[in-house]
Amino acid sequence: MELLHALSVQGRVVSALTLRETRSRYGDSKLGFFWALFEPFAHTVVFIAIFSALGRASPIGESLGLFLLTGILPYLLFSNIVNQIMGGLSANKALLGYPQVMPIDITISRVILEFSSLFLVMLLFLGIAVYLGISIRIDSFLDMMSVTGLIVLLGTGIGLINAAIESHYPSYRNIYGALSRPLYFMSGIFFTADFLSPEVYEMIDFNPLLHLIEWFRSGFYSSFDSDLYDPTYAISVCVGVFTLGLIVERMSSKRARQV
Amino acid sequence: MIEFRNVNKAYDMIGGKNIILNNVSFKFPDKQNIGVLGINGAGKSTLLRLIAGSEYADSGRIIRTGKYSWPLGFSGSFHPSLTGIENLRFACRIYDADIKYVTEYVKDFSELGKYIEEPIKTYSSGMRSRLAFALSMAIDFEVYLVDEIMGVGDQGFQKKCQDAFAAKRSHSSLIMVSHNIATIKDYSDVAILLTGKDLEIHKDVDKAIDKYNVLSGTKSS
Repeated sequence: MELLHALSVQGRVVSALTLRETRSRYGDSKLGFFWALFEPFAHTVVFIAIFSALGRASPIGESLGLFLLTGILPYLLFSNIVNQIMGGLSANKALLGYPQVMPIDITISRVILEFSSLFLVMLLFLGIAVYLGISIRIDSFLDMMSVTGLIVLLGTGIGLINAAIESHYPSYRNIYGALSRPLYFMSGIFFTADFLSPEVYEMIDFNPLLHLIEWFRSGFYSSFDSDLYDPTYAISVCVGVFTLGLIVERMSSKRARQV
Repeated sequence: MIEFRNVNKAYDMIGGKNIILNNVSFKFPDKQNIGVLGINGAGKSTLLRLIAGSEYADSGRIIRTGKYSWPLGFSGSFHPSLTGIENLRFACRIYDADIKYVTEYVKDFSELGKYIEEPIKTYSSGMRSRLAFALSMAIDFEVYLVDEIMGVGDQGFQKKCQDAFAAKRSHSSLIMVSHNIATIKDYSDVAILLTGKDLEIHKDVDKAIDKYNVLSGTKSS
């Protein structure tokens, strides 16, 4: 009974927070959702320009745009979740004055919003692709959803760990920003793993995002099936980081409440 | 009902630890209006936040049954960049209250007029406390936790608050923190004195005030 009651309270809090987050992001300005579309679009356009200048074709399928998006969207899902969680507490600090609002609720609501936004963005882009007459034959929807779920776990885990470190060392935000920048170039957003020489691949194959994006594309394209990703490795890292994130959150949430 | 069992609470400060509660076991009297007295820094607001559950004890247990308000104070739980109405809706959602009823009640009670559609950061402290009061009255709690904001606003509004509390007297009580001795006298049935480590309960509010005056140095013993 008590657990049920606690769950219903938490459900109310998370839904109220999600509404508030959605309103403050997309409610006030008409530009809100446009930005959610524009960000992946801008990344894609930059790479299309570079590829064209180099005279190179899409590594998989006919559409270069689609190839890039299948890397950019999973990557943005990860990095946006991390950033949203890191900024979440300071943006909602006042609301922690309500006893039933827990720091983890803020995190959950932000993850829900980020996931829903990017899911919508992905559907929109797929719609546009179909409209433009680009043929899409999804190989395994299940693989794509599994990868999406794992990215949510990984992003949430890293976000929670970062938020805890940041609460002790505020300058950590800049350090993480610098440290994570190379990830963008090591995650296979604009290349597939077999494009790399074995030596280079071995140097960066610790990066779970490289495995996840490769896996995502194997699920998306029926004409592409990579054997250069390791699902067991990706799952263990994501689940491990997520668990660690939850532990760190539990240890630091007491502190987060203090004014 | 609220009970502290072996509760410890301290803040880390640059010069060491500021101990607020040192292994305190204490049962708060039921259905009585309680005024909390204590010199600056004794931890009056922290005590209220502990009672509410907005902050956790370092160790020990706090047992609470019944419906407690959030700590109604200036820093409050309102989000500064949301409007009065948006904050109101948020509170209704998390307390499972009827948004339409609460909105009407608050509009009428708070006398905020058009300001209710403005972000909280544009409010004066008097306006904030009016919103907090109106909102907490509309949601209906068994125990109201009031942090300093009693006795703000003009006479008319103060009268309104008194009347609203009087009407709730049969099923609601309050625990209040105030620097204003007159306010404590007006509202409290019993007083709790925070000595800077422990809680002392005084059935006689006047005696508690005397002791507080000695502690705060406004009167020598």
